[in-house]
Amino acid sequence: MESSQIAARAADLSDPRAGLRAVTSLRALADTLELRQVEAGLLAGMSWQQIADALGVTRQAVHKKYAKRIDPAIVIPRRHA
Amino acid sequence: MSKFTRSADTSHRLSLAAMEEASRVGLRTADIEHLLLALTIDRDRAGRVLRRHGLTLEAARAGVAAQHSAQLAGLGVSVGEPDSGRIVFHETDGYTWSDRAGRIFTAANARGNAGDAVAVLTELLAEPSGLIEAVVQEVGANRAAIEHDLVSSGSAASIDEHAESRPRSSSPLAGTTEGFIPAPTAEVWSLLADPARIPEWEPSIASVAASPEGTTDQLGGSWRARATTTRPDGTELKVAPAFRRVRLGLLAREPERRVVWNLAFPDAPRANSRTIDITLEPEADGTRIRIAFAWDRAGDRPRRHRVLGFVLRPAYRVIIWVQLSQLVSGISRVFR
Repeated sequence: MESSQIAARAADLSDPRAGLRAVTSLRALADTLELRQVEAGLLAGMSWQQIADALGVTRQAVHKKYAKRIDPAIVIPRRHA
Repeated sequence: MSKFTRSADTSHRLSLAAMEEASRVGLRTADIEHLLLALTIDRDRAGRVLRRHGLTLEAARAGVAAQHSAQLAGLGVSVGEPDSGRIVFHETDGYTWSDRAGRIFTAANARGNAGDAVAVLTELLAEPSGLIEAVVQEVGANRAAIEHDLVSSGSAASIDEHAESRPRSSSPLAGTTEGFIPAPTAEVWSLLADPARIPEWEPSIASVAASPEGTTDQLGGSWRARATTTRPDGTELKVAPAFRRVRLGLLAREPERRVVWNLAFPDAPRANSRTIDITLEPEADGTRIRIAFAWDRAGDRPRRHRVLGFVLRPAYRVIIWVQLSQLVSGISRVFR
């Protein structure tokens, strides 16, 4: 099956199986983009609080999720700096 | 090797490779497609069958990316796949398996299944979402044909038994393992035989002097090197002063076939030195490496604590196993 055929099927909703699978691709893409945006935010000097505000979650939640996952070379600004 | 240790060894190798693959696309959760990518570089029968059907690492990565962008396009999302970068697994943390990938491991270890890579691949090909089958088709392979080969090429355990990492019976401080490297033998050779490139794959060496300091009795030469004092994540690694200088000796060198390195501590003459003996063998779509790793007791040092040594034997075995798997993954990472 060609990629373009799969795309067409997902688009016209005639193959919900392919469409549902496409949603999992979208979730993975969102995860990738979220990690990269968090790293970009920290590199740009944003605090965990500012990142949390933009994501609509608590500072604790975003810190817990990303503190260890981000590129360790990024220098994190101190909380009360 | 028991089912339990074989299955632990399999899941360790597959988890490492799959999470490395997830890390290079900016993910910290490894899903079924990363498990497929890990299996394409598996050293045993599961990997050989996949590669024979055209599912090399490169082809499978392209197939996964094509599937994802096709699926996103189907939803009207056209950002495309984000660029994939280098593997950052060893520098970062917080990795997990997705629930559905975890269930594949559970099924591969269920009663009646061997828990080896073939069992994992068999479960993966039958995963219910259809993603894996779609990737298989994307690269022009056929799921039924792969499944047929997995069943028909006989019981794997006896074929792959020799490849399991285990200490040599002569010493508790030695062990051997095998790995598959997805690169031509000439490229693997130029990495492993070049003293300046050792820091790329041997995690305990940070840098090597450009020119040799002299020749050893056996052959080659020796180079001054510095031990690693920083972990991959950037934090400090405490190393005693006597263990910061390393002398790198080339003990044997047969172009594209075998290289033997010795790592000694010139400032700690009573400390054991390490010998890493690597043989290369060309294989379809890559190179098979065999690593024999040993801590060699310093010649003039009397062997004390015979009983303690016996008691610690299982601990040594784990340490050697960890060091062997770090060497294989370090070499593999250079080519991925």
